[in-house]
Amino acid sequence: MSEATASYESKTDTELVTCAQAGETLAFDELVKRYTPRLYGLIYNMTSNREDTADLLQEVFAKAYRSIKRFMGRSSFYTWIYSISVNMTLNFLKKRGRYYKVSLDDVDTGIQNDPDFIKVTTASGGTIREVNIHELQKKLNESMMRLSEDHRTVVTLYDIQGLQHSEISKILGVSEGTVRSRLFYAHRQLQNFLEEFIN
Amino acid sequence: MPTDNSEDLTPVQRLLRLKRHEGPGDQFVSDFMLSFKERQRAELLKQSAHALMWERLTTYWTQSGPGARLAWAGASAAALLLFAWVLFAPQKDSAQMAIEEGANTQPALTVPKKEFPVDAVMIMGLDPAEEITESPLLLSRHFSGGYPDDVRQVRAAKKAQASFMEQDAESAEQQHQ
Repeated sequence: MSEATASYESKTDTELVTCAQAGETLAFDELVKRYTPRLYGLIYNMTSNREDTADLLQEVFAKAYRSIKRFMGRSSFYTWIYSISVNMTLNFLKKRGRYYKVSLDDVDTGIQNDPDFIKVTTASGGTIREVNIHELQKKLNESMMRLSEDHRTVVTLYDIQGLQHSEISKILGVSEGTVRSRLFYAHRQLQNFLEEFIN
Repeated sequence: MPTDNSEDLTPVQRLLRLKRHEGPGDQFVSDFMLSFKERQRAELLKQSAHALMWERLTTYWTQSGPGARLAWAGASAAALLLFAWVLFAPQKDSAQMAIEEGANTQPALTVPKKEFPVDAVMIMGLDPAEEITESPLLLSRHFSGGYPDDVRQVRAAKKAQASFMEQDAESAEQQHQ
């Protein structure tokens, strides 16, 4: 790893943005490296298609690169790049329409040690029940795609990505009350869709 | 930052959290960086100046504050009004414009007006007591430099006379011989 790359790793997002605005492309590369995993997860959970996710991620960073000089710092870079990602994904979903192909990512083996997975597979009596991970993954994605785009967005940001209500309201440009009510409605719907996996 | 209060989670939320284990693999990020840089280079070559300008304008518009947007909106409205006025303003008839223009300009050439002597008697009319002899008046008599009939007759007569004189001269020559 070069010294230049190592020096960017220690910088904050704000410092990297300032360097990128000054024309330092390595600074922007560091931002891409930092945000790719999170934004991939966001877009993938909204589209359930890994090829579309990779393409959209390219578009998101390309747009961010073209607009970086106009980023005024009124919000954090985190909120800004998330807003771009959500908006571009929602536009993509509107154009894609109802007929789409699901293309799922692999599930890492660490899931079996996940406390949440253990709780799901443990019945009330303490017995372990067999849960086909592949079936579970398929059912989860199908249930998500049955939600409306707005509901799917808040569930992805809150339940999967772990963002706070206040952060989500800034990203989406809606009130926290709207975020909470969308989450409440989405959880109720998902409970019906995922009945077979709920104890 | 991700929240992690797992004790408060409902069963649905626990199931949803399992989706965090879905992912493209460890190699994805480095491969993605390479393809992103290639795409950036290709885009720079492909994108037209107009497309770049349009994208920058729309980005500036969405990111500018309300004051700047009002200023832009005002300037755009003024430009539209000016364009509409130029396009739809009533145009003068070209003939009317030519007449107006002619009225205000001096003629390039001045042609002296011909003065025609006006006979006061002709205008006022003849004395009813006076004997009127009608004589044919030709339009040509009213123009100076015109040719009245008697002049034509005099010319014809002169021509005939000239031909007779030639004939006499020829006969006289023949007699001498």
